[in-house]
Amino acid sequence: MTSQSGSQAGVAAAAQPPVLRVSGLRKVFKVRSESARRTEDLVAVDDVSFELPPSGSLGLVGESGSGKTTVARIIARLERPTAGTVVVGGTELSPRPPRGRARRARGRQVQMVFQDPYSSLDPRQTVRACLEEVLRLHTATDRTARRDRALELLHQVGLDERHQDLRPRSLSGGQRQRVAIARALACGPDVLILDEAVSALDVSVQGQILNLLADLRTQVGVAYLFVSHDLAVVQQVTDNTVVMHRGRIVEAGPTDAILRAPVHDYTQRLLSSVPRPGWQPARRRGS
Amino acid sequence: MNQSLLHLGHLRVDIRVQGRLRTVIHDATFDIAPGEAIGLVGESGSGKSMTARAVMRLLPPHSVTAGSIDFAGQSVLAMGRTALRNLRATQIAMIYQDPRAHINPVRSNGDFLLEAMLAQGVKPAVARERAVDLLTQVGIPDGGRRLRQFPHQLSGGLLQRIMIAAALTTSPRLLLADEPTTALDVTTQSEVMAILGEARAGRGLAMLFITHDLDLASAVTDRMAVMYAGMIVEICASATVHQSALHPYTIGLLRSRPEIGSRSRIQVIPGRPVSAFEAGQGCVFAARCPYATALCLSERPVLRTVGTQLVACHRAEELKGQISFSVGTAAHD
Repeated sequence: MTSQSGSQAGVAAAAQPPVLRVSGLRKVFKVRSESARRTEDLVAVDDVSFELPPSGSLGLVGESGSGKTTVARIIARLERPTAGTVVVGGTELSPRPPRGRARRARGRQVQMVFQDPYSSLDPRQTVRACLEEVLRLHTATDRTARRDRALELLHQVGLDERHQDLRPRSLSGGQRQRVAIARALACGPDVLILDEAVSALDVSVQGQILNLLADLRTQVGVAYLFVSHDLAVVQQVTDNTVVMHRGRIVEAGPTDAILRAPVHDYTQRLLSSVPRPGWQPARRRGS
Repeated sequence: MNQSLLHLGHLRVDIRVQGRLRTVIHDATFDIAPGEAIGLVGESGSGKSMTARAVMRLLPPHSVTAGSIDFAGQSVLAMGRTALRNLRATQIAMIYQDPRAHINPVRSNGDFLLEAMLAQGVKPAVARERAVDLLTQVGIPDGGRRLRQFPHQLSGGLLQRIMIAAALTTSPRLLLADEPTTALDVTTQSEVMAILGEARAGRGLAMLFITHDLDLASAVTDRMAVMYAGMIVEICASATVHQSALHPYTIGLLRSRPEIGSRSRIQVIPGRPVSAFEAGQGCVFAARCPYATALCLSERPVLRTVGTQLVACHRAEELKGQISFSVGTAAHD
């Protein structure tokens, strides 16, 4: 299943059908040209295909402008693809953004955690209200069951009773991101998209969240699509990795193998740019 | 002390927040020798940016500064307006994290680059020539065109190089670089750091490099000062920090970062980073330190020599080589 040239991140999960399959994804944005007289096509995502097995974890790696976030947003139905298909749990998602009941059904399949925990939570909502709202919309539970479930979710992400009635402004960045993760997990999704979910956190807090993500995957069995520019962090959370550059997949395979012996020029350059003991910053020729 | 270009002695800074004084730096003491690169490493709220701003006397109004800041033997705190203006214009240059927020968007790149030189009376034609030359040095070949362009027409990486070039125009002796590559992609970061390194080597330019990235600081600086909650807790040689770190916070910070090539579970410092004003009367790190004793909670340790480095920890000797953190996930704050 793993073919390098066909830009397919085959994940050799033999028996189980993938929980997420993306094929031939393409997204073209219309942008104003420099003279502003006419529009030009900007190809943000070009022929991207990959699969994610149930409870698997796939890293989507690239720098700014590589198209990784656009891919994530298409899967979460925040963006419409120009071409290509997204199959979640065996059903193909319609190209049009769903409404009403269909949108909630999609919400039970795919959830997303965003980069900035300071802008992704409602500042006026308490932690408990935030979680219970999701449960009320997505699950047929009564009030007591919702309260118990909300508390259980908080425990799962390392928070407790004391945090229930707080609003985001009283929480630290790490705690907010824990709440965002709990909210995403509340309706029991098959796929959790983490878009640079630890990038905005302080180093000492980032480590805590990485350990938490590793634990949650084993406990809850949710699959991760982990979008990040940070190779060390991707290694910590994922089994397989897709490397994107200028909208295309340049390399795909098991994360450990890619980090040990990157094949593509770009992946090699990316890896050699990561500061580590004895590292020498390099200047590219011709720049 | 005569050797040092910049000397900070027990710097303490309080700023006024809603009418009340709040400590942002408890104690910052370090020296920078001419041509030396010092890394100032810490998490958000540790006071590292405030330290740089204190050196330039760019603190918010009504701040209270105690201790000493000496640049080339002169007290920066005692400087009058003219001396201070001269210090900022010709002796110390600053590079910020976000070039887009620090370069005037309605003026051309040329206006920004030439301003300091023109203010010193350099003829426009000469200044322009020097600017194009500097742009070539920082990896921008078509300088003439770039000078006519505006900031919005350049990418973040290119704009950061413009800022570096602008910092070099007046041939300063010290560069204060506040997270200069944090907003850039890693491949661009690598190039910008290489360019900075070349520019410094050719000029014997000293640098205070502020960053949250311990690995980056370890690679591009000579020595590093680790800062936590407004206190410098350790100063050691950058290249060997992974082996020689003594302070529990430095070690915790090193362990918190996953390392490429090893997938083991991360040891984490419990809790969240606190700000200087939240720290108790004892050691600023005591609340998160698994090795804190009653003494650590009651008496704040000062920076002292242990072996070849400086560390502010009561238990530095007895804990040497013993420190480890839990691999748990809970948020104990």
